[in-house]
Parts: sequence; structure tokens; C-alpha cells
Amino acid sequence: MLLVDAYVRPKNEEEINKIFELEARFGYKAVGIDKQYEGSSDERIITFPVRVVSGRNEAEAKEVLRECKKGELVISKPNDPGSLRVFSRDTRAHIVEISPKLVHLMDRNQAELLKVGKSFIGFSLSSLIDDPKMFWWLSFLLNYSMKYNIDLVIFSGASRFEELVHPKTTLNLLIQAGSPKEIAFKIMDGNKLLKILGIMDFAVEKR
Amino acid sequence: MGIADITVLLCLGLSVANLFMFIYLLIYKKRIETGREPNLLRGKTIPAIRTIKFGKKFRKRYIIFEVLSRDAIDGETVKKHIKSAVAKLFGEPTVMSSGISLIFYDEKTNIGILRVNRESVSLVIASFHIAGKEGKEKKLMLVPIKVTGSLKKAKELIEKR
Repeated sequence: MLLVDAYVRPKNEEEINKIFELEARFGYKAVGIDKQYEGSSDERIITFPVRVVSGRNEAEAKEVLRECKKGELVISKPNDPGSLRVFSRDTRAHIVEISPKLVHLMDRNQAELLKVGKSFIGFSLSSLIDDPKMFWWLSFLLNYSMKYNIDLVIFSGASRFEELVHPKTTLNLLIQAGSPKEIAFKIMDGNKLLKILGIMDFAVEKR
Repeated sequence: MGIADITVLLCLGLSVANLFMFIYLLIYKKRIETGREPNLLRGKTIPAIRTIKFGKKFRKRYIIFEVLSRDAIDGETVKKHIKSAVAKLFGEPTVMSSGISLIFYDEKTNIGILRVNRESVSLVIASFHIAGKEGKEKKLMLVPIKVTGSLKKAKELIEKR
């Protein structure tokens, strides 16, 4: 299993080194870092740039996706049904972080769109720190992804090192949210994500 | 027969009744412990405890954990944060049923041992993620190191580190 933390957004330059140090200690092989700190790297782990985009409507969603470059992971945050549909069916948006307010749109058709766009559903664990009630949303997304066979990505979204998450904690969170152990391991495996970005071979070499 | 005699007799009667009551309760307690009598004295219990078979031994697990924080932190605060995190994520009754107690905490190395019921190990580790939030910022991070079945083993592992 290849552990990948798809997104961290350090608060300042000082936090970056501490975050890299801890991620390497916890056994993560690759870390997605906010585009703002694209240049920073560490010899112990692979880093890749992450662009977070959001759209308030369909046109804006299409516009922001045009700016995305190859080689960076794109996390999209839709705010309305139109942008959700655009981000879901577009292959340029790798991860769709869906807000609980769009729960009424999470049906079979939405799942089909996500499959067309080969998109992952994303869940940031930092939202759980801000509001522990978001645990129901994690549970919902887990059931949804299992029902329609869509990949789910769990990332820390940490801005400080205290917000990072240990793989054992992630595993137990997924188990408590209702996932069987085998599926929890599959969710935590970052192989698919790295394959999309084309850095899989490099990751295997480094391992 | 004077008032003094009546009082002495009354006291004697009461003490004999007390003795009988005590013996009866001892026998009743023994019957409860062996599972021959339902425990009517326990009152209402929360569902998590009710599911545990009567008379069954509570099995414990010891979680060795490490605290990562910018400031020095004491054991009481760590315990408070863990209990609060479990309550936030799984509800107040779960805190009671999981039987969380901090056995040992070393302020120099920031390593501690937490005792929990075997059934609650997973949920306690899961709630480590949200533990330590004070105001808007998270002040500490809890890292699970190992889960053991005995305190002796847990202490040995800490000494080895």
C-alpha cells in the first residue's frame, strides 16, 4: 500500500518542513502541496502541486478548469448544481470535494457523471476538526462511493502540523464511519491517484 | 419494664434484623456475580453496557500514544481532550461505556498509556484526530503508537523506546 496525503496547505514557510518531517515519519510516500508552495520539496517524500478551484456557476467552473495545467492535481469545490455537474464530468478535475449542502443532488445520475469524468470524491479531514458533526457526511460519502463504485480520497488538508492525521487514525475513522476494513485500506491506497498524475513509476523507485 | 429496657430490646431487635439483612445481601450479591440472579439493583444502563453479557469480565486494552505539541502539556489536559473528542464525535454515553482512563503519562517524553474497553479501541483512536482543539486552533496532535493487551507489555514497550 502506498500512502498519499493528497492535499496540505501550510500556513507559512516554517510549517512546511515540520509537515514534511511528520508525513515521512508516519509513512506517507507522497504529499500534495498547495500551489503557493510549489517549489518546496523534501528528499524523504515525493511532492506534487495541488490546485484548488471553485465555481459559483457553470461558466465560472469551465473558466477555472481552463487554467489548470498538466502535472498538477486539481481539487474542485463546487458551490451550485451547475458547477458540480461540470467538475464531475470533466477529466481535468481529479477530485471533487462536495459540500453537504449539495446532498440532494447525490443520486445515480451524479454517480454516472463522476464515472464519465473519472473523478474521485474528496473529503478533507480538517473539516472534521472544525465541525465534528461532519462525520455523518464522511459516512454518507463512504456509503455513496461503495454503492456506485466511485473512488473516495481522504486527505488531511492541514495548515498546521497538529492538523495532520496518522494513517492508523484515518483507518479507524473509516471503520467507525461504516467501512469494512478491506475497503478502508483500498481508500487509503494512493496508487490510483499517483497513476493519474503520472508519477507512479517515480514513487515505486523511491520506495 | 421501664423505658430503658424497651429501648435496649428495640436496639437488639434492630441489630439482629440488620445482621440478617446483611447476610441476605451477601448471598444475593454472590448469586448476582455467578449469574444465577438478575441484577435488579443496577438500575437503568446505557445500551452499550446492556449488550455486554451479565457476569462477563470487562476486557481492557492499553493504547500507547504520543502527544505532539508546541507547548508543554500535562496528563490531566490530555485526558480532558481525549474524553471531549470522544464525546463530540460519538456522544456522551460512549465516553462512559468506553471506560477511558489515563494510566500513565510522561511529561518529558510526551508518551502515555490509555486504558479503554476492548470494544471501544477503534472509536477512541478515531477520535484522536479531533482531540486538542482549543478555540479555533488545534493545540496538540495525538499519535497512536501501539495497542497492547496488558499494562506490563505497554510499559516494556515504552521503556524500549
